[in-house]
Amino acid sequence: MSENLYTDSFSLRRTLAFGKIFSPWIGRQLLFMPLISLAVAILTIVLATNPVGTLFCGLLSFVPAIMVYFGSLVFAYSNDRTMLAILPVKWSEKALFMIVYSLVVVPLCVDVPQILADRVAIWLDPDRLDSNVFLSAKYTTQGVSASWNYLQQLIPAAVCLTAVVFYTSRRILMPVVWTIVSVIGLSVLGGICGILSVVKLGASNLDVIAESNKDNPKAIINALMGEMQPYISILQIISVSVLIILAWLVCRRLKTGQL
Amino acid sequence: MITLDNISYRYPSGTDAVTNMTASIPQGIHLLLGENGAGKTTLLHIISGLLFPSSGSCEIDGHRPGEREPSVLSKLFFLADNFIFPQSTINAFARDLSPFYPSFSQEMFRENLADFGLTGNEPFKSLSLGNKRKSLLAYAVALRVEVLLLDEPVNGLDLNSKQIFRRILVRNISDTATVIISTHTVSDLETLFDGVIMLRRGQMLITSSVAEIQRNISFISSAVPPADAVFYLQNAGAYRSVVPADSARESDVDFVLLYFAMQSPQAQEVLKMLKPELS
Repeated sequence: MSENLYTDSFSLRRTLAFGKIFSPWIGRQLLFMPLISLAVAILTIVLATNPVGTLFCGLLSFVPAIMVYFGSLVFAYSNDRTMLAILPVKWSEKALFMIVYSLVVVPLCVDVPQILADRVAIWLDPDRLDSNVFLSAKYTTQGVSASWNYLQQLIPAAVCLTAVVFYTSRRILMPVVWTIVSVIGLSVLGGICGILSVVKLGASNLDVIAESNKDNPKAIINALMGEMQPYISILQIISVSVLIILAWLVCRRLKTGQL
Repeated sequence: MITLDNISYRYPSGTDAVTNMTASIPQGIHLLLGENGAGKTTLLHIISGLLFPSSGSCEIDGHRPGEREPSVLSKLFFLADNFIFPQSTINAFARDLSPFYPSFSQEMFRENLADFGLTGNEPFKSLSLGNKRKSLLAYAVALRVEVLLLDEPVNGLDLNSKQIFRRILVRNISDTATVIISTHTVSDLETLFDGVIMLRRGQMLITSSVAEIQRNISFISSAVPPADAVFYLQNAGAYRSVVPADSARESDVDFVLLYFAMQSPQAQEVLKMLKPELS
C-alpha cells in the first residue's frame, strides 16, 4: 500500500481496503443476491399468469425485500466492534463504505435483476402488462410511487445498519428486531395513506370505476395513485429526512462510539 | 511514551472504573497487575482509544488515541481477551488487515506461527482456544507496532506454548516498543518485564521500572522473616520477605509478593521504600 494510507487524509483506497475485511461475506452476498432476485422475479412472472399464482406473488416479494433490509448484517457477522474500532481507518471511510454498500450496492444488486427480468418479460409478451394485475401495479405507477418504493426499502436497510453500528452485543438480533419494527411502521404509514386516499376518492367512485373498466385493471390503480400522490410526496420528504438522520447517526457512532 | 494525565473513567452505569491515574509508561515490556475489577482492561481500552476518559488525557507520543486517527492507530494494537473476525483463517485475516499497519512483517508472522506449530491455514473456528490465541499472538507481535497491548495473552496456552511466547517476545519486540501485558499468571512471563503497573480498585498504586524496584527493594527467602522485613508471606515453611535493598541482598523482582505487599496494611511503607522521594 502506498504511504498515504498511513496519514490522516481521507483515502478512497483505504475505504476499499476496509471493505475487503468483510469480503468473505460481501462476496457471498454479491453472488447470491442477484441470483435469488432474478429467480424470484422469474417465478413471480410465471405465477402471475395464473389467478391462484398471483396470491403467492405478494409473498415472493418479501424475499428481495428481506435481502435489501438485512444487507448490512454483513458488518455484524463474525466480527466485533473492538476489531473495527482499533483499525487504522478514518471514521468517514468506514461510514462511506458501510452506507454506500448497504443503501446503494445491495439495493441495486437486488432491484436491477428484477427490473431486467420484468422488462424482458414485457418485451417478449407486451400483452402481459395489461392482463397481469401484479405487473400492472408495479409499472403503471412508475414515477409516482416508484421512487417511494425505492425509498421505502432504504429506510429499513438504514435502520438495520444503524442498529449494527450502535449495538455492542446481540449485533444480529437487535438490528433484525429494529428493522422489523421499521417495516411495520412503514406499513402502517402506507396503510394510512391508502385509507385516506380511498376516503378522499370515495368508495362509491371506486365501484363505478371498477364496473366501467372491468378489462382494464390499470384504471383503478391510476385513480388511487392519483389520490395518493400528495401523501406519497409527503412520505418521500419524510423518508429522505429519516435517511439523512440515520446516516448522520451512523457517522457519529463510528466517530465517537465507545465500547 | 504513553502519558496518562489524571485520567478517570466512569461507565454509564455509574461505576468508577479508573480514578485519577497519572503515569508515564516508557518503552519496554510492562506488567499490568491488579485484582479483578481493578480497572486493567478499562485502562487498556483507554490507551487503545476504545474508551475516552471522563476526565484527564491519555497520549501516545503526544497524540491522543481517542481521536482514532490512522497515523496513531497504525502504531498501536490491542489484543483483547476474545477476538473474532470474518476471515476463515489467520493467514486470510493477516492478508486483509496487515496492510493497515506499515511495520507488519510477513516473515516474522510466518516464523511466529511456525514456532507455535501452526501454518496459519487452519480453519480458525475449529481451532482450540489455545491455538486461536497463538495465531493471534503470532499476528500481534508480527505487526511490530510501537504500542502493543495484550490482555491475558497466555490465557489458554499450555506450558510449552508459554515458553515459546516468551521467546517470541524476546526475539521480536524492539527496544523502542512499549508492550503492556495484563495477566494474572505472572510467573509465566516474569523474567520479561521491564516495569510494572499496579492497580487497585481503579487507582494506580505504583508505576515503576524493574531497575527502580531492584534499587530500592529486595525479595528474599528465609526460614524466618528478617528483622527489617516490611512485608512477608509464609509459603511451604519458608518466608518470602520484602526488605530494603542492599548490595548483599540483590534479587529479581517478585511481582506476586510485591502485589500482595501493596494490598496489605504495610502498602504505604513499601511504597515509601520504593519511592523514597515520596517520604
